[in-house]
Amino acid sequence: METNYYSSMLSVRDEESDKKYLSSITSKQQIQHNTSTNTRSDKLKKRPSCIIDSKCVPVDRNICIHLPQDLQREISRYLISQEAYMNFRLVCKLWRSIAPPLHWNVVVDDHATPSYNQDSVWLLSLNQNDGLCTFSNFNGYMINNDLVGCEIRYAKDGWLLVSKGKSLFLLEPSGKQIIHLPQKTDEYFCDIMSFSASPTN
Amino acid sequence: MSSSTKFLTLKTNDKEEFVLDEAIAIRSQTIKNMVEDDCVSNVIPLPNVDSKTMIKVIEYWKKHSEEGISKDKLMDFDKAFVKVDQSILYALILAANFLNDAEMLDMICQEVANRIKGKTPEEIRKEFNIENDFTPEEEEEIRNENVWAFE
Repeated sequence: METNYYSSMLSVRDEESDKKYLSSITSKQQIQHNTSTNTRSDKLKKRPSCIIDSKCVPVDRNICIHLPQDLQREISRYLISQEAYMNFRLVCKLWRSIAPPLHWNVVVDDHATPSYNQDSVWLLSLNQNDGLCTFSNFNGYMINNDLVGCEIRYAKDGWLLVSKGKSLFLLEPSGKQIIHLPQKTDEYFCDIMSFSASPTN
Repeated sequence: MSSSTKFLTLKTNDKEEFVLDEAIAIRSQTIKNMVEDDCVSNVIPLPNVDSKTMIKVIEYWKKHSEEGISKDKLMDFDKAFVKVDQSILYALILAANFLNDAEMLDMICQEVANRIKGKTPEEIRKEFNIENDFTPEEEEEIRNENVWAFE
């Protein structure tokens, strides 16, 4: 595929610009390939890596020509936001071919236990600027912040309602804010709790 | 450093030689394998790396091998390290790939990705000097392909 791409670029070049190209790079080529026994024209066929015509911008900035495709593909893997990945695919045919289209698969696992397990707590946060959803494992946070044995009752607006025994508090994990609430009494003991608005609003 | 410090000589494709502490040079998995397989003679040839790029690579290796350097300082160093022209970044990617230094490759790929992020396709083409070879219809097709696949 690489060669196809290159050869299509080669075909655009006419004889005239080939000569110009040759004269401008000959000295560099000799340094880089001084062990090679190829003729000049052979070298040109092997390294068409540039100049489509003389108006073209400097060679060394074109990423498609400079890097092998597997490394260009590697770079596409660093584009985790959907928008950036889509824009990558929209740049040129080569990039469309190295970055497969996004498909969102909904995986339903029939064998997964439906019960809610507090041993494995994940927080989902949404970044409003780039629309990225981040899942973060909350278990480590609970252990590190002495929240072992706490139960998360409810989550809203970045706040968690947490209970431990009879004590209740609101926790904002990213800013590590805690608001202690009056201890619950047996009179209004309940399993399900929630709150309707962010406590700081 | 102990008296048993071993030095390796690395020779780039433009015939420059770099003498480097083995402990630093083996940040390259490629060099490490050569050392472990005992196939290192006097000079290790690096046919895919030029001296200009190797100077940058060694600068990175040395900084990342400094004892007791703080994470903050390394982060500042890395930030400044990747603030270079595209052509140097490409050379560094190729070198990191050839030398098989996953950490460095990761950092530079991330930098290239950062230069792609937040840009429109046209801006990306301009930044990386790529020609648009799509017809408007083809572009539209790609824009529409982002669908949820329920299976």
